Amino acid sequence: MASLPKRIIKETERLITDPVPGITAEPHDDNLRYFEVTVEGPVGSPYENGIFQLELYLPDDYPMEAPKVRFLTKIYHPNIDRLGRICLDVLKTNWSPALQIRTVLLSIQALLASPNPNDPLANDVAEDWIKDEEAAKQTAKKWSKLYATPKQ
Amino acid sequence: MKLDIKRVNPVFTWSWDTRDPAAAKDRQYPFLYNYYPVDVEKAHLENGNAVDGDEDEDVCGICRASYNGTCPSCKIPGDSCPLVAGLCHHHFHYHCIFRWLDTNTSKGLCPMCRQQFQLNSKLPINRPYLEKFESITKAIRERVFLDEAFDGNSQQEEYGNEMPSDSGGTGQERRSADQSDLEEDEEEQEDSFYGHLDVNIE
Repeated sequence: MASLPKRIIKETERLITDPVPGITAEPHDDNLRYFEVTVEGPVGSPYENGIFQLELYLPDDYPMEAPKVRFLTKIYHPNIDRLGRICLDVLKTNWSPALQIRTVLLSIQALLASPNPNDPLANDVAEDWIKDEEAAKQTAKKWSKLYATPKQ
Repeated sequence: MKLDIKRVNPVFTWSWDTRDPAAAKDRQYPFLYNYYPVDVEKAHLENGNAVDGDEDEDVCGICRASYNGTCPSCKIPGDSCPLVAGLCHHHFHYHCIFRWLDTNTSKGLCPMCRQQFQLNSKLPINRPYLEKFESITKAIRERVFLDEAFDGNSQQEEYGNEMPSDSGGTGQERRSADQSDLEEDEEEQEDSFYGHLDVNIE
């Protein structure tokens, strides 16, 4: 593997010394481009109190190319499918090299707070969301409790 | 010794010592000054250059290395790794912004403000690169044009209703019907795009 660009080293250092509240990201020992991430469900959302695990990978072309991010924890959300893939503009067409790991993770946390069923990735979830938002939120809450609650 | 200054190329370099703890107390956001617990003086001596943190103004927004330093693929700062200045007042290492504009995702936009990135042609430091940027922005325009044609989300206001959202073929037919002898070279070029589309869609 080629040596790690200084930008990645700096970002990693800052993620550890000055973490974003409610978000952790730690690089893997074997591969410093692979991060184990946790994101707390935003307060006031159906995901509140949940701790969601994600994986984040910085491609060789980073920062010219967006990081690859995926939910590992099962989640009921119209913009996240059953494989954990995320439909978020800054991860695809609206990526900019001025963004960083921390801003991407913040965007993902914000996506949990404001699901967008009109631009769905998980179609069945989005349908439920549009049909009966309250019921969908209850399901999301139930799933969070079931899958995103840390084992005591 | 006497020096004659023949030419001056002003380059945007400035520094603010915002990390003075005494001054920080009176600021609006004192917590911002805790980001870099390093001794700035010492770091200066060790690295031989400014401490270039993320929140600093004087780093390239793409590689986050100092303007006075180099992009990740260069070793020697200065003429071999120059800076360029955008019309939007965002500045980058020439190599960084060029690599970004060369990607498909960039769509020719500035990474910082998402406006079309254009060099400020009035600045002498940009002058050697104007031509190269002209060629890359032309390539981007062509690419964006094709992307939008394939997407079916073509921007009607920009290309007019000659651009159908479902297929390129009908567009060309309608176009040829409208064609007059007065059409300019530029439009012929667009026609060749339609031709290209036909091949790919069918």
